[in-house]
Amino acid sequence: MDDLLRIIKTRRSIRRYKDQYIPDELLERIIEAGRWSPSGDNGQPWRFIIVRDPKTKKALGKIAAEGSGRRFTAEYFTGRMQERFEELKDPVKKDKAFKKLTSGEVSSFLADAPVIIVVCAKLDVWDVSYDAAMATQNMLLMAHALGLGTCVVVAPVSDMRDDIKVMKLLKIPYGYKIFAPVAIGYPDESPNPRPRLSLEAITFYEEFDRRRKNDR
Amino acid sequence: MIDSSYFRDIISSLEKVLYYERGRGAYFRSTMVGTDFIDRKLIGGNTSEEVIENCVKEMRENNIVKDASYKKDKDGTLFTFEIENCMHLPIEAKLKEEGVPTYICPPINMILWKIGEIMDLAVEIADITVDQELGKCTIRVVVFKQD
Repeated sequence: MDDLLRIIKTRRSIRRYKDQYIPDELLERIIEAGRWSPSGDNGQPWRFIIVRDPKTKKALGKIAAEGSGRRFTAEYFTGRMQERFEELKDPVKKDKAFKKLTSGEVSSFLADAPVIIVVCAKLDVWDVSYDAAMATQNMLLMAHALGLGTCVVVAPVSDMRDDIKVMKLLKIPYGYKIFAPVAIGYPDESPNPRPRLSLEAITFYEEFDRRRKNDR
Repeated sequence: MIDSSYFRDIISSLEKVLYYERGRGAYFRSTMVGTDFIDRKLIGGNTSEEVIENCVKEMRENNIVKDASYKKDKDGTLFTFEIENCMHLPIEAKLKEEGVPTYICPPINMILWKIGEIMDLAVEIADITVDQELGKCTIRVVVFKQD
């Protein structure tokens, strides 16, 4: 049990990968973990596209960068990004962060991942978003347990204007939807854990916002 | 003739459903709402300004908005639009009553869609502010060349 929690707690979103081939056997183990996820009515709506072709990865990275770049440029010009980074005092670091976000570089790394597994799902089920999300999480954990790094990159599919391009690129038929491209590779970075809200802050008893007396 | 409140209720219900499914991300799922209309019109232009002007003309003539104006920041990237008496205002009023923030602006979607298509520029809505009393919306957008 502790092993499972350790795997959950040590998983990170990895955005830099070693140039190292990932054998098919490992990808199959990852997909096997997704295959055993729960789904409403056991609908198993998920379908997984393994992408290794550099041209396709480059196209996905470009669409991802455009989506992120637009979104963060809007944040920058309205001053919201500056508010978000208020606590970062170093002007050089701040400028670097702004450039990384507004250029879309924050998502373009998708093109450099050795493998992208694109999680798709058929829509003719009752709980498609939940099913796809649970399968994705199972896969992230399995990849981590196998020593691989992953990052869910929704940038190329969150906006409809981009989504339709990716649907065309990957020849997704009507009745199916892309949920998330997942970048996979051997980690070439080891980021620190991101801050987490405390258990007390997120746990209520019997009704919303009711806490134990000692937690106040 | 069906009372227009029927369509208002249907659209606001659908917007509410989408918002409760996707939260803030509902905005990204709605960036093409309204673009079918403007795609049916012959919109041209050699500059963003001309494209805007031609889109607004169509919207005015079809009573989608009473008027729309804009100003640019000195950098030329941030555009602030003011839209008067848009036909979507009653929908937004109903949504506000139900705690759903405004996340769709079909007139701006149309304009940005055409700027993107004709001028090959990147476009994005930054924020939308609705003033029901004045019957006016302020929408800030960015228009820029993406590398």
